[in-house]
Amino acid sequence: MSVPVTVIVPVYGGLDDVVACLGSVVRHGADVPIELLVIDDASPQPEVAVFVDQFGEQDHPIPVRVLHNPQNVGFVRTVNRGLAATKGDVVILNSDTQVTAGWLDRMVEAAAADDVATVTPLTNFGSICTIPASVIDAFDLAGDAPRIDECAQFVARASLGLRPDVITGVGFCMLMRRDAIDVLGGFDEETFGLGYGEEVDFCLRASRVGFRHVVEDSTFVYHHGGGSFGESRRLGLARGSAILHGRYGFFRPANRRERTENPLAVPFAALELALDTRDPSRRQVLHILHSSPGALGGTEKHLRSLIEALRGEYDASILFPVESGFVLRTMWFTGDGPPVEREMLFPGAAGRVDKLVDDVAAETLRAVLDVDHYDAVHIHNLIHHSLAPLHALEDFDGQVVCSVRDLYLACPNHWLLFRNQAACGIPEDLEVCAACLPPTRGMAREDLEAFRGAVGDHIDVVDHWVFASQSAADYMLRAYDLDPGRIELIQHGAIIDVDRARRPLDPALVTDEPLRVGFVGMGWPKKGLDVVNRVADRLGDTSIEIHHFGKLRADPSPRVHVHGTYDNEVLPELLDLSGIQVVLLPAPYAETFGHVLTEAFVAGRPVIGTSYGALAERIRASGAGWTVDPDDPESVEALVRALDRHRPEILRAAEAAHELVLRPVAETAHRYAELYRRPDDTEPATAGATAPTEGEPRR
Amino acid sequence: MSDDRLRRQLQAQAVVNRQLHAQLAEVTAELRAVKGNDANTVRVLWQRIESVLPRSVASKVERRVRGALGTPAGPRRARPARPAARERTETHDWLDELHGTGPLEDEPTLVQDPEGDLFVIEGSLRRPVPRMIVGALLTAEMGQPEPVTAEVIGELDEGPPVDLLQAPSGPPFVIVGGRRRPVNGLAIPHDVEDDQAERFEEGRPLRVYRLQQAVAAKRQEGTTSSAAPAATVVGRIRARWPG
Repeated sequence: MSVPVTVIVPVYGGLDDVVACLGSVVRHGADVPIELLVIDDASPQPEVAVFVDQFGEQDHPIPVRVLHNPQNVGFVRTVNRGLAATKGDVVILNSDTQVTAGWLDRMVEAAAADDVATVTPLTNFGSICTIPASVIDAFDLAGDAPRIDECAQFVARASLGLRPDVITGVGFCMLMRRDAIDVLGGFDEETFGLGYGEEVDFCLRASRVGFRHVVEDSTFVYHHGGGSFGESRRLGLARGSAILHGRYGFFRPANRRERTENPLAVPFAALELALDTRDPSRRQVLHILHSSPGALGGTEKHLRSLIEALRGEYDASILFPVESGFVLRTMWFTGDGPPVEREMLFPGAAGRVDKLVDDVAAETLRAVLDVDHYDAVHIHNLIHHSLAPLHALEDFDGQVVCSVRDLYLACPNHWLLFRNQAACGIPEDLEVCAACLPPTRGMAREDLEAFRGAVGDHIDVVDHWVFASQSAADYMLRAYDLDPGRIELIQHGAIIDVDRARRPLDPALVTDEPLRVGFVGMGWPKKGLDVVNRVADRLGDTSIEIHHFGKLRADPSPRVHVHGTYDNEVLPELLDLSGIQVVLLPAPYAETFGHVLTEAFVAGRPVIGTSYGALAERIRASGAGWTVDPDDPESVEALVRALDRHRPEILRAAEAAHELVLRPVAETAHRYAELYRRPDDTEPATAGATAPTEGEPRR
Repeated sequence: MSDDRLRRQLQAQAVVNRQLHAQLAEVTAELRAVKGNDANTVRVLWQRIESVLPRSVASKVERRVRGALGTPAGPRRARPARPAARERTETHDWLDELHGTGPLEDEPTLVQDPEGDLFVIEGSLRRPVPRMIVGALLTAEMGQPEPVTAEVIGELDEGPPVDLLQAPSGPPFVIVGGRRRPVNGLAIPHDVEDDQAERFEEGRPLRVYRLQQAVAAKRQEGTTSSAAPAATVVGRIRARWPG
C-alpha cells in the first residue's frame, strides 16, 4: 500500500473550530490513502485535549492519530513534529478550517508534477487565494451560517482548473510534497517561533532550488480566519513579514509583481462570471455597433431603446470598438430589474482598422460567436469593424439583420458628398468617384471597386436589410442588387419620450414674434452650416433670427445665435424656450432617417429640409414642412423670407406636424423581433403588432 | 480542456482584459488632464499605472501614454538586464527644481573651479557638469569656461547637475538657463539583445571617467594661462543676486 497523505492539524484551543475542522476531514475523506494527525499543542482549555483524545479513539472512515505536546511549543515546532512523525506528503491544515468534498484528491492531483513543492486551495480568507468578495457574499461565507459545501460545489463546477503558479503557498491549508520536505527540511522553527511567515520561508527556500507552488483553483476550503492565534495575528504577521523581506531581497518586488500580474485574476473572473449565468432558454441577439453604446448619438439611443423594448424576449450583447480592441457588453435580463451587464475586451487595434477586411475584427467576431450562443446578429454600423463581420458571419446559423443607418456599404465616404461638398447621389460613372475618393478617403477608384466587390460577394450573408426610409433603400440599390425579399422598411421611431415631449406650436409665437429659425444638429458643412451661415448673413436686413443647437465643428456666422450642445430629450423644451417657430435642416448629406426631424415634429415645429434623402421623403409625406436645395442658399433665403411674410403657412405646417403619428422605438420593436427569429421559429410577436406608420394622421 | 471550459476561459480572460483596460483608461485620462509641467503629479500617476497594470501590459501602453502626456516627465523604464542610468526620482527632482525657475533672463555662465570641475552658473545656483561630453558641448556653445576660485563656488547654492536627459520622443537634451536644449548628433548605442551580447566574452571595461579625467587635466593646463580675472565673474554673479 502506498504511503498515505497525512493531514496534520495543529490544535491550540478553539474547540468549536477544531470540532468542525476534524469532522470535515473525516467526513469527506479521500480516494487517495489518507491519515489524520491531530497534535494538541498543550491547549490551555482542558476540554480541547479531552475532545481530541475522544476523537482519536472513535471509529472513523480514515485512520486518525492524536499526539500531545507536553508543553506549548508553538505552531511551527508542532508542525515540524508532525513532519518528523510522517513519511509521505502532508497537508498542514489550520484547525479553524473546514475541508470539502474531493478536496484532497484534487490537491494531490495538482501536486503530481515532480517540481511542485506545495499546493494551496482557494478559500474565503487566505491572502492571494481568497475568492472574490462577490462569491463570498453569494454563499454567506462571512456570516454565521456559511454555505460551505454549496460554495465548494460551485467552485468545483465553475473553476477553469488552471492551477496557476504562485510565489508562495498560503499556510491555512497547504499540501507539502515529501520530496521538498526531504530537500529543505521542515519549517524554520528557530526564526519563526509561534508562526506567521514560516510557510512563506519554506516556499521561498523551495523556489530557490527549483520547486514550484500551485493553487488548486477548483477546490474550496473554508477558513474561519484568525481563530487559532487570536489577537496576536497582526503582530505576528508584521514580524514575519519583516524577517522575510530581510532574508529574501527579491521577495518584495516579486510580491508586488504578483499582485499586479495576479495569476488568479482569470480563475476568479471565471467564478464571478459563473455567479450570474444567462438563462439559455432565452433568445439572444448580438448587436454590432461602431461606438460605445452609452454615446449620445441617434444610433446608440435607438439601439438602447430597441434592446429595452425587446427585453421580455431577447437578451442582448453589443460588440463595439475601443482604442485597445473590441468590447463585448452583455445585457442579460431577469425580471423587471436592471440587466446583468458585463464587459469583455478582446484585444486588438480597432482604432487603426484600415483594411477592407480587418483580420483582428474578423477573429474577434468569430471568438464572440464562439463564447456564447446568439440567435441573431444585428449590424448597426460597420465603421471601425471593416467588412470583417460580413466574412465572419458566413457560417453563422442564425439570422443576420443589417440596419442601413448610413451608406458606408455603398461608399466608404459614407456622407455621399463629392469632395465633402455636394451630394453625389452615388454616381454610376466611377470617374466621378475617382476624383472624390483620393482627397476624402485616400482611396483610388480601384479601391472602391474592390470594396463593393467584397460587399457584393457577401451580400447574401445578410438575411434582412433594414432601411428607415425608402430613399435610403434606393441609394443602396444603386450600388447593389439586393434581393427585394430581404429588404425591410422600418422607420426608427422616436428616441425621445413622445408622450412627455409632444406639444403644439403656440400660434401666438408664430403671429406675434419675429421669425426664429432653428438649425439643429452638428454645426459643420456636412450638416449644412455653410448654407445656414450664408442665409443668416443675407438676412441681416431683416428681423429674422437664425439659431443653432448642437456641437460646433466649424465657425458660425456672427449672425447665428449659438446655443451649444443639447440632449435630444429636451430639444422640444429648448425650442420653446428660444421661441423657435421653424426648424431648418439643410444638410447636403442625404439623411437615411433624421432623428432631429422626428424631434422637431414632436415639438410641433415644421421643418425646412433637404430636397432629397429621408428628410424630403418624410416632409413631403407629412406636409409638415418644405424642402430646399442646399446647393442653392438663395432659394433657402427666399423661402425663409416668404415664410416670414406668410405666417399662416407656418401655422398650417405646424398643425400638420402636430397631427402626425409619431411612434416611439418600442412600437417598432416587434418588427425586429420577427426578423431575429429563424424562419422555422413560429413564436408570435410580443409587442405592438399593428402600429400605424408615420404620415398617417392621428385622427 | 473541453470546449465549454475553453469558452469560459476566454470569457474570463476578456473580462480581465476589460478591467485592465478600464484601469488604464482611468489613469490615462488623469494623465491627460495633467499639465505638462506638473512633474510631481505625473510621477504619482505614473506610479499608479505601474501599480495597477501588469508589466507586460504597461510596457505596451507606455509609449502611447507618454505620447499623450506631451511631457518628458514620464520616467523611462530601464530594461531589466541593463543598469538604470539614473534614479527616476532624482531626475524628477531636477526637473521640478529647474522648471520652477522658468526661462532665465540672464545668460548662464560656464565656469571652472581650481579642481577642474565645470559648473554652469544660473542666478545664485551652481550646477555641476558631471559629464565630459556635456562639458565639451557647453564649451563649444558657450565658449571656454571662466576660472573661479573655490570660495566663489562655495558661496553659491548647489543646483541640479547639467546632465543628459531624454524624453520618450525627440533627441536627448540638457536644461540650461531654464530652457530645454536638444543635443543633436550625439552618439547613441545600438540596441542588441542580451543573448547577442553574451556571445562575446567580457573583457576589461573602458571607463569614460578616465577620458573625462584626462580631458579635465588638459583643460586645467590650458586655463591657467588664459584665465580671465576671477573678480569679473564673481562681480557678475553677485550683481544678479537680489538685494
